[in-house]
Amino acid sequence: MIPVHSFTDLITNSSTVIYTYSDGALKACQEMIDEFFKEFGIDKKCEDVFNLVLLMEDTDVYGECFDKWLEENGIDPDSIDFEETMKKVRSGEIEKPKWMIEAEKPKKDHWGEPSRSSTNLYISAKSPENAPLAKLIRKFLYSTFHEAEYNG
Amino acid sequence: MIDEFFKALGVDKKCDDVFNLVVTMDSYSYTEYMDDEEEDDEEDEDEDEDEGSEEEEEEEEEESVDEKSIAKTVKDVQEGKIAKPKWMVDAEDYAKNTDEPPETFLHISAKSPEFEKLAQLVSTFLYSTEQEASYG
Repeated sequence: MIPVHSFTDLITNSSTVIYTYSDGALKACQEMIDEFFKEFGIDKKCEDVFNLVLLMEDTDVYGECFDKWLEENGIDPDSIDFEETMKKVRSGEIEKPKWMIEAEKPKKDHWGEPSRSSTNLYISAKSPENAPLAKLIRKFLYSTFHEAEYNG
Repeated sequence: MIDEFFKALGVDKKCDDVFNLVVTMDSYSYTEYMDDEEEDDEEDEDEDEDEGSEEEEEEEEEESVDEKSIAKTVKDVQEGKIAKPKWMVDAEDYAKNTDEPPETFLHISAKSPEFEKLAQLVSTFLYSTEQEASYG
């Protein structure tokens, strides 16, 4: 068995791509953490301790909406760092800006069918002492293995 | 992860105290292995024997009983009720070395009823992602 991401790297040359949808993981994570707190008498909620952020895997889509937003609002492209903004959103430091929400709006494919993007769940701790736990929760979520077979 | 949870919450417990964690293949993969094993044994023992229709019927009946009993044992193992028997371990070792190893699943069950909901939620979280492959 090969971990999902390694396998994606490995098989990209054979035109096989594995899509991971983590949309349902956000609620499942909140519920699990809330239950841990409840069961062990901790008067906290998941949102008090962790930032959970769901993002599309393809950052190009965000990039396109970012560029469009800059242009439409006449903002100097050098005044805002795209990568830095993405990093801050991922870590829960800032809320998703308007152009990110725009990028995530449902789209249709060439055939007019709703298209789905791969998504990843990012978990970060609001205080440093819980950082190892945040890392382990994410590791646990993506610990399942997936194998694709391509004949041809 | 669960140990770290307990540590962070100041709970003096370990994952093993609260949950049973078992990795298994699906029931069908064990049945397939046991069938292969049985066939190999029969071939070795009764190579030259002819089998009558009555015997075949009996055999089929036995197979279906075995299938049920295998499924029951696998379920009990998954629920943490019994330890994994040797034939399950042997089947997994065998499957690992085949060209197409079957999928495996992690089963989480609570050792006491008050943690059943938590076990269910941990399991739901683990399998909350969906994956699909696209071939170009």
